[in-house]
Amino acid sequence: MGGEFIDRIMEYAGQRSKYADVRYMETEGRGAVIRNGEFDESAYANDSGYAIRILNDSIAMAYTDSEDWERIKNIIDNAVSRSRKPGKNKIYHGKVEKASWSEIGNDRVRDHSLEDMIKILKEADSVAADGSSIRISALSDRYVHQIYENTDGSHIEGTYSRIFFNYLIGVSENDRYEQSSEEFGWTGGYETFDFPYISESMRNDVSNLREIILAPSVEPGNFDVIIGPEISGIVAHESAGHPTEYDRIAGREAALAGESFLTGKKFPYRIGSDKVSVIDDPTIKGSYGYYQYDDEGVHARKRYLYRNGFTSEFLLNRESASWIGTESNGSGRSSAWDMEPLARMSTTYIEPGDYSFEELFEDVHRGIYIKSFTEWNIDDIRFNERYVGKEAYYIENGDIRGRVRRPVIETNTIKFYSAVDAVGKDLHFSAGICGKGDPEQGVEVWMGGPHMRLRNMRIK
Amino acid sequence: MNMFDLDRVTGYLEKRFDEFSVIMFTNHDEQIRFSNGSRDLHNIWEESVLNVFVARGKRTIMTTIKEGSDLEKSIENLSKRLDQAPENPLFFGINDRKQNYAISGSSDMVFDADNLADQAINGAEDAGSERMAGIVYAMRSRVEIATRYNRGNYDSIGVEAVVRSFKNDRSGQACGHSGIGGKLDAYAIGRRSAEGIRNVERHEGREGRYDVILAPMAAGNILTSGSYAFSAHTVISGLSYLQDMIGKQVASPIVSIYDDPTDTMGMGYRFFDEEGTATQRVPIIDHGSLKTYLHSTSTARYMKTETTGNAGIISPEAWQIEMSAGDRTLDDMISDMHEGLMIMNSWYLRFQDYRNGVFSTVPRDGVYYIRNGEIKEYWDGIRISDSMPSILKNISALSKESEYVKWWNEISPSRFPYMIVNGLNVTKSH
Repeated sequence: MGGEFIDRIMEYAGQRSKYADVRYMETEGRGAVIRNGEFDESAYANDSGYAIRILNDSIAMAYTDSEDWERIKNIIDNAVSRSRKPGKNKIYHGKVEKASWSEIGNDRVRDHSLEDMIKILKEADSVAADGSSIRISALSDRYVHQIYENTDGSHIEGTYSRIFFNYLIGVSENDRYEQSSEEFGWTGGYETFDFPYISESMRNDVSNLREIILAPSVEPGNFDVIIGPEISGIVAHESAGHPTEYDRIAGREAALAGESFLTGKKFPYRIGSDKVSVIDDPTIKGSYGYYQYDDEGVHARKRYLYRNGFTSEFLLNRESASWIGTESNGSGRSSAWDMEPLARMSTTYIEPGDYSFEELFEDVHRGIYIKSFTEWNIDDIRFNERYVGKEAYYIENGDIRGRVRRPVIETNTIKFYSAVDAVGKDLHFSAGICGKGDPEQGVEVWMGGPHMRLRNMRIK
Repeated sequence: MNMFDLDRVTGYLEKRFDEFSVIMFTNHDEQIRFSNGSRDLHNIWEESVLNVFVARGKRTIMTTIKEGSDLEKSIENLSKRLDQAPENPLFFGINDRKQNYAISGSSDMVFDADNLADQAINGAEDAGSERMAGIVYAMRSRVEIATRYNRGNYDSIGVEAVVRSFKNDRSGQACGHSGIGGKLDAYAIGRRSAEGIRNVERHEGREGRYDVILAPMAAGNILTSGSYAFSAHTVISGLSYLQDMIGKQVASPIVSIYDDPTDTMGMGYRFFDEEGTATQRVPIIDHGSLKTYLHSTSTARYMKTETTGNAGIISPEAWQIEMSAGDRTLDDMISDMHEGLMIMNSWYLRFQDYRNGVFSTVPRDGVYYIRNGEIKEYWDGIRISDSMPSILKNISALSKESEYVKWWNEISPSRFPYMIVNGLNVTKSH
């Protein structure tokens, strides 16, 4: 057990700074991979260390995994010295928080053996074995204990565990090939782990890929488009979540993950149809990005990023909140003890509307239903984006017809959201690992939404 | 300072396991992040860790052991977990031949991140950057390896810098990296980021197939993303677009691609792989012909060949991809082009089909339309939507000059010239 120096660090750093905070984090992680029915790799790792932030004339962060006071003191001294150089030095203080929280469930990850994980993986592999040419499945879990303190007097202790499963399935037919990869994640114990849902997804993917591989490509043109929740989710994440991270808008990420199409705009800014609202909410129980307090000791809450077609709130950590003189809304996340907290998403989703699945299709004369996607990407200001359909069908006079292979939506954020004229009342989530920062930090997220109808979209 | 006594560690491991590879990293890294002309953050890391791989028969497992852990207990724990692991059919042992490493010992060399960051900012400002952002990241690690058969150590010292500049809402980006044998001109990187922004008329991009000059960053984004196909593990898994292609022409005859971890001018250098095999310059594609996949001992024994010194014991990987330069200059490439594009950088490459290498990636930091040998337009909103095999086969020219490129997680440490790809498929947003 480490972390015993946290109070001493706080005292020592506090005496040498205008503001300081320290985060001690310890993790236990395990994972295994099965490839085409054969065991591939397994690993486990324990990790722990301190992240110490010092603010004077600029901000410096020291990261150390040492439990030797002299070495800890030396690295704090180094950070204090660096923080005397000129630079940005604002930080949001906010109210003092003292709390502890836990989300480790009843069926705890630490009680599960590697054998248990292998058994799950073998079962998953067997589900997809019939009809696929390539199968790779991976299961991992992570237990995290964290203590946060700052010079204002906050003290937050949090414990949680997360479980992640992902697979890639490939199907070959003559010289054609189709693939599908999906990700699933939860926060809590293994009671949250929905293996029947994963199995069903794998089984469906094999059977769908075997039909998609024979399907015709689309004749390019304009269509009404119904998108499934998986696409609503990735759109919410990429073109609502990322562009509202305020550090991007301010240019701090410009050389890395990029900026935002919202840079320089007056707010609220119209992003599309008034049918569209996008929410980011870290407090959804069981969600993969769940937390009660962020990694800067700020209480988590739901926030509207877009509301009725306009920007509403930004994702803010302590640093970016201070630049615009407002409160952090608890978006400061760090993927590991040796990473800075950045403004990040948690569960980002398009708010459901009031259309049933059938109602969305009713007056579509000539359309395409794109239920899920394969390749996707977006430019660095989160404007020019592309989603390649995986499971997709033609729609004629409100009815689903034959399959179509790899239809492509290549559009921009404003055109996409402006084309939405009906939003379904269903809501589904999928998991992902979101990357940002340097060194790159992958944080756990959910993304989701309902089915939606878009009018007159170019499909190719 | 060594956090663990490797003799003691190997003593425990030798008694309990048939095979082991333990690598100790003692890291001292610094990074400056800056934007809008001033520092955002100074990061300082001090960490030490043991990466441990063990095998008993064909059972394998990997773990990390941190400083302060009870070593004997950690290894006992590892032994118990190994018993739970199934046999790994792809494990065929680790390299048991005695190795000679090119360099061992220590170095006092230090890259001063603070000073380099100042130089990068000054370079960008002197070249007219209206605003900029970037990082300088200096790494220093003592690396020591022990297996049953080999011991080695070296100082891994490297630095990378990236600067993105803006003028009139247009961006330019430059990067560079260096290892222990090189140096980094951060001022020049800053300058290039701004000087690369050409003042020509802005237009929406137009779809079609174009002859395209890929600058080293754009080439690096595409070709290092596609380097997964070089790994024998990917081939065995059935996901490589180079499956069953050894000895066949997979690229234009002017294309030679190496994995070169012996090049200490770049930060991707290393003297041994993760099972203690001495690294070497590996010709992967020689004048368009596929010479080898990248191997560990296990994948090599599985495929009845020799290791290339690229372990990952189960899953080999490239350390530092380099493409041979050509005989053209960039100016010639532009002036000889009747109609085409020059793409300075690209990001967010995603595959829809690993097996056939089908992907798209989003150009940024300068897409220029060339007509009759002159840069005429600055384009927005396009995407490269093509495949790795097609690009490799359609490279028609390479520049004399090449650059060491490494950028965030988009480009792994590598070295590329400018290149012309004929008939590259360009799509756009509607």
